[in-house]
Amino acid sequence: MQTSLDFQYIIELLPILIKYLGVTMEMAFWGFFFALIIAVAMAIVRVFKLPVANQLASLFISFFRGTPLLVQLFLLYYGLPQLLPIFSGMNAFSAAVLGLSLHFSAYMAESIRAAILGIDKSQMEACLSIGMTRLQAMRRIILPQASRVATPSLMNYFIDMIKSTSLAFTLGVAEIMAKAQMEAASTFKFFESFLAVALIYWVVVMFFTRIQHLLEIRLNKAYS
Amino acid sequence: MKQHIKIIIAAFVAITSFITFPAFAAQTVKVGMSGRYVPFTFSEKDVLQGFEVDLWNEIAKRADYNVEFVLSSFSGLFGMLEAGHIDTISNQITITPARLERYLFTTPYVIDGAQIVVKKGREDIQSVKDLKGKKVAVNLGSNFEQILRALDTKKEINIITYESNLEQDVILGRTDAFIMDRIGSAALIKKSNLPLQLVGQPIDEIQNAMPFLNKPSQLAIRDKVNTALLAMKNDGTLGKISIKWLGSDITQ
Amino acid sequence: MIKVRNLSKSFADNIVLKSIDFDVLGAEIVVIIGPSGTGKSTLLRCLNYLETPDTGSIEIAGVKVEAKNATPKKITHLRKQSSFVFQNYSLFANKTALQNVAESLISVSKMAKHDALKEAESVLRQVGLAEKLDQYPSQLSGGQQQRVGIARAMACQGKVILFDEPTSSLDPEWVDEVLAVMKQLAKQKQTMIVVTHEMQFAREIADKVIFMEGGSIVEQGTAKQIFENPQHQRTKEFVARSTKSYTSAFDSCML
Repeated sequence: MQTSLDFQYIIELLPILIKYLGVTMEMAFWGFFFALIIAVAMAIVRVFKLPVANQLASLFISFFRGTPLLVQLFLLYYGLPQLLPIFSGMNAFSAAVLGLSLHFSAYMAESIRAAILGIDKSQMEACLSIGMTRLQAMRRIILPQASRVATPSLMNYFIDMIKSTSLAFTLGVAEIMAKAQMEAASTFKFFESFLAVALIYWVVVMFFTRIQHLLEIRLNKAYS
Repeated sequence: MKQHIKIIIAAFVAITSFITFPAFAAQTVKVGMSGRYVPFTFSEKDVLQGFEVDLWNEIAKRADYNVEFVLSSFSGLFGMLEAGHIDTISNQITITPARLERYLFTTPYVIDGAQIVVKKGREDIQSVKDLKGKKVAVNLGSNFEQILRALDTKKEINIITYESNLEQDVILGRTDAFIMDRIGSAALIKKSNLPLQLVGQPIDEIQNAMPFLNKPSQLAIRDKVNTALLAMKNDGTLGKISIKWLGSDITQ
Repeated sequence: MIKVRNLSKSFADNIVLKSIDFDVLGAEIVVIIGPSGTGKSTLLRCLNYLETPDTGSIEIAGVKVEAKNATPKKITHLRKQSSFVFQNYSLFANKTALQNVAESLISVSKMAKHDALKEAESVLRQVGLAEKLDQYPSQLSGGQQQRVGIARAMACQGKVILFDEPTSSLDPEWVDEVLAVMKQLAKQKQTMIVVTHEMQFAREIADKVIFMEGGSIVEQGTAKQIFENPQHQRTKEFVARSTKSYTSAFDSCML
């Protein structure tokens, strides 16, 4: 039974875990990419109150915000293939990306919607007055302005998503959390293993927090 | 709006395109295991190894399969089997009546028993009846939970389920004992030098084998695996693997 | 050029426009005057369909939209015939002065980006802002912002420019430079409809003056008729009052 912290072990473990950081970040990037697309589409549907689509989007958002991410991942990966056998070919990585996108898109849609609604009504009127369609106005004027407002919260969701990828180990994705667990199971150095993985997440999150800061400065250029 | 819908559809197509490409060759068998079960399947310095890994490398050689190990936490393995993400589970899966109804099993490749394990030096627990009023840990989703509950007719044992790390809590005194397979726990104690000990006789004899879904395609794989297993039993290969990892032959 | 018939609009129970009829000829400059809250701005916004009229029809440069069967497509088509200058400028906050003016050329007229920027630059030059092309609205003074607003409306190449109290939000210091740009447009025979409280300016440039009160057109005629020889009692009172306040303000300035 160990009694003191084995720093040597942490140092040996870090490079092993970092090899799997790529999988973690890939999941987070793809997850965020798809989540953003779905979220923007849903936000627009909600802002314009498009019939039927608006109700569907509300239902979607309510469900994915109202249930735990872990449950959604299990539903997608273990449940769906029983209903639709075609999904049994979906690998754990894709299922994790899909689950993360759907889950986070629900939150992001609401914050994008709030950002859009926060843009002064006169901006839309100005667009319409020069002959733009509502969709053109959205794309060229409203969304760029809303993106500035929404960036801090979207970046927070991205950072949250990086951390949430750790749940993908439950689907068998070989990412850093799964790897840390396995190494811990074979060496019984739980504290060191999980401390190592925590340190990696921490450094990554600090890095993206810095990026977030730089991005905000850039986006505020027009308003200085 | 049309453009956005197109992008969404493209995204889903991109994601689901993984679906349409299952195994490249028909001869790849996907074997699920936890990768967290010393000495059967575990990862040390990023190398997956253990009894199950050697066993499958040998089966693959004899049956001319490519074997792909799919790692997932134990509680997820049956879900993956049901969902068709893996062909079988090689993780000391015990044959139970309930599982027999649902799955095709290979012939047993490990004969084992459910074992009570306590902290070293502890004398008060020797058998199941000593577990009354005690906290006993079992792996979530494992059959040890069912075995114990079946014996605990009056519900006097405080059974606690764990995802992992149940040994640790026995050492820390958070639980009084844990139930795991006999040889596996012995090997674990030997390898890791943990302050734990086996007490009393096995509660129940158990047979471990690999489950397959009851479908013609899976039946074919099961039969080829059986042929390989029998040959390995007969020529002593199976026994050698057992001794390598557990110090004794637990396959007979 | 413009034909408005039987145009009505109410917000909830409040009737804002009551069956408005009027015509504007090509190259004509029409100024709409009247007390605050009489529907002048609403009328102008209806012409651009920023407010949806309840009844009636609007025809601009041959494009006619009837309130009862207006579709988004028809509305967009109608909007393209006119452009709008807002009281609070409403410049695109995320775009530079140049991009603000070029926007309609790029996204509506589908002009190549390079050509659009060139065109926009020449329009900004006309309103005296050649030095401010790359400034964002937040970096411009009120007067400069409104001149960008006018340049944006000019660039649209609509047949008529609608001005909704273009100087009301401006500090007095900036009013003249904006009015100067509008006078310059008037000289170029640009068709304009202007809602304003600047009576002196109205007198100077208007071909036609419309006096509105309580959601109706009370009287319309040439600037001379309305300001020097109003027929209607309400018009007389309004003109007398606003001319007086103008002179008294002028007097107090001189003293």
